[in-house]
Amino acid sequence: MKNIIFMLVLSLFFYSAVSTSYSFEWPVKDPRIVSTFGSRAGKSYNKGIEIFSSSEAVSPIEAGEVVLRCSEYARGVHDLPSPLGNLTVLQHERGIQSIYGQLASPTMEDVPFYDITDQLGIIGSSGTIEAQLLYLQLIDSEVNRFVNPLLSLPSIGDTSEPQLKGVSLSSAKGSFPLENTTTIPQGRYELSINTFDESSAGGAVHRMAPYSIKVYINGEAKDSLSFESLTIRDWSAVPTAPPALEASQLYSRPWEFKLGDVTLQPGEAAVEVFVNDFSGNEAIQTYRIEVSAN
Amino acid sequence: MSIGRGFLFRAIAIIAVLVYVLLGSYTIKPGNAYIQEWTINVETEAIDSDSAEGISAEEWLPFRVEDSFGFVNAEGRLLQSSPIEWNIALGKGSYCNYTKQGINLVIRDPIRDYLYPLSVEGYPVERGGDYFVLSQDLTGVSAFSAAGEFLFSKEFSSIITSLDVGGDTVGIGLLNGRVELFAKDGSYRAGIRPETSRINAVYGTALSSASQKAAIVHGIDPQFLSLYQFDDTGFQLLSQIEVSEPKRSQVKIAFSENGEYLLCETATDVQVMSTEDQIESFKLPLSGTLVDFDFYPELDSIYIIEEEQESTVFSIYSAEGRRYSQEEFSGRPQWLSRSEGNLYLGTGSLLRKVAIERFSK
Repeated sequence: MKNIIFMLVLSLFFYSAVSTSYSFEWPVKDPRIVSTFGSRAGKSYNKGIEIFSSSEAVSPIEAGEVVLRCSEYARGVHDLPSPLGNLTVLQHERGIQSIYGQLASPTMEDVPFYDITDQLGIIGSSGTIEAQLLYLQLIDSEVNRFVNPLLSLPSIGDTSEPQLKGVSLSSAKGSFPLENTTTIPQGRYELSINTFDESSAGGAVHRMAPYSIKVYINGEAKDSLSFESLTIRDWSAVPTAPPALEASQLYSRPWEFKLGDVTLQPGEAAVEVFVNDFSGNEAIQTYRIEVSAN
Repeated sequence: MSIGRGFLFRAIAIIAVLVYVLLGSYTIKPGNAYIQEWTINVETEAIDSDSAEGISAEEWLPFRVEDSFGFVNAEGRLLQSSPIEWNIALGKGSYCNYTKQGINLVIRDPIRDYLYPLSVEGYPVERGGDYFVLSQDLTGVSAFSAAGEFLFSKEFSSIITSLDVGGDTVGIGLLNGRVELFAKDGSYRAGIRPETSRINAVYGTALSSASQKAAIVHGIDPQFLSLYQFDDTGFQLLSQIEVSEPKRSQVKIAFSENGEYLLCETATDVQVMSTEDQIESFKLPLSGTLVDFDFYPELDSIYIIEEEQESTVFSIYSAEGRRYSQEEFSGRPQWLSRSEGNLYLGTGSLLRKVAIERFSK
């Protein structure tokens, strides 16, 4: 009985923790995600999300105070141009900052606060992008982390699972795609997983990073990855949760994630891969291989 | 009726005495004469490629006007001119002309006709002879020499709001309220977070290698202009002035070449501060949108260009804040630079050279 009560209390605790984290509203109507947090962006990670919407108006995710306005174009030698285009940064409670980039025009100079029902801008194509998209980034300024916005926004009802295209083990002995492999020599291998999530928006299909990847070998958790937040380590962005790899280390090729090393002992091995997207859809693949002694 | 000759002579003598009393005894103070030497229309002016070959690198003077940029010499010969793709980072003898997408970045040396492709994407700016490419999300910066040599790359847990170079030191101001200092080789020097306000954020950063001073505009409620002495190990606060008309966007801020004066933009004016006695000296009112300013201590002069209804207002002030002159030009302000005591002013598609002559008593 004590165990049941303990589990109930624990469940309530987790429920409250999860429910308080989903506290923001979408900044646009009918949002479609075209680039997710953690996707490769240049030499680093995408530290926010890009949103397509058929409506143009952009609202704050929560009431907030303007702490920065930027114009995409710099004139005079003292200004910095903004590759994020016309942008506005709002400061919210609990140290959260929300950044709205690629707006059609700079926001009004004389408006220091925005309520959640106010319009702070219009989706545009300012900055380095060409499509009409809103860039949203969340920073937890109390712990100096980029937070995945999709963990704090309502679910968008995506029901399609991520694409799991392949898993390979590679070492000096060679590269072994598991879908084509039945036998593999024992030893230490680098594990790579080819996977992505997809979204249809604006008449195109967009590939983007999944939320998490977990690998089990013979039921034992081995490597994992999750894009909950990014932190800065040695002046480079890395996922806060291990493996804390820079984007150039994690992404070997587009949508191929190098998760780390695994050691295979002789005998049968079941390699299970779980890939989740941000809506909770899951792709699972199990590979059964024979590990030989040489 | 005729006027007698004697009366006429007396009248002239009285007038001459009056003129001498009123004007002749007035002491003429040292000052500057501004002479517009030449104006060229960059859109219609032919490029003088023959001249370009024989002109030393020091004589190539960069400029930008409405849709194009290039180099002239002091005599007004157009040595090179090209259309601006979307925006341009322009140095003394090099440039990076870039598209809106911020891709395929190349530093070009037009004098030696060299190309230096950069390995990053984003928007570049030129500071102190080097190029700094802001990453696409404005949270990272990569530095390159004018010869395309990679210097460093840094990411931050905040939006970059300002960047300046003082000698060998690069200062990066962040929205999280910090300013980080790096050497040009990327090694970390020092950082500061002036926690003085309800919201701590940095809106402007300026460094002076001449005086080893850093100026930072920071905070909301209140906003401050803080002056620091800095070295390799850290910052020491010298003074702090509350900004009466704060901004919630990038603030233009710059030291004079000798580091003795500081110009700082506010919402309504330009604050001028002496860094020697660290007091706010005076404010220069703005009537339009500030585009650029410069302080030339050798001539005790401050130059300001503003945009007002698609035209340019060019103002010259003394080091004490007295306005020498104000002139309006058609066309939006594009460029203000100074070379060997001459000003180069780009407005609309026109480039003007204004020679400054110092006269004394």
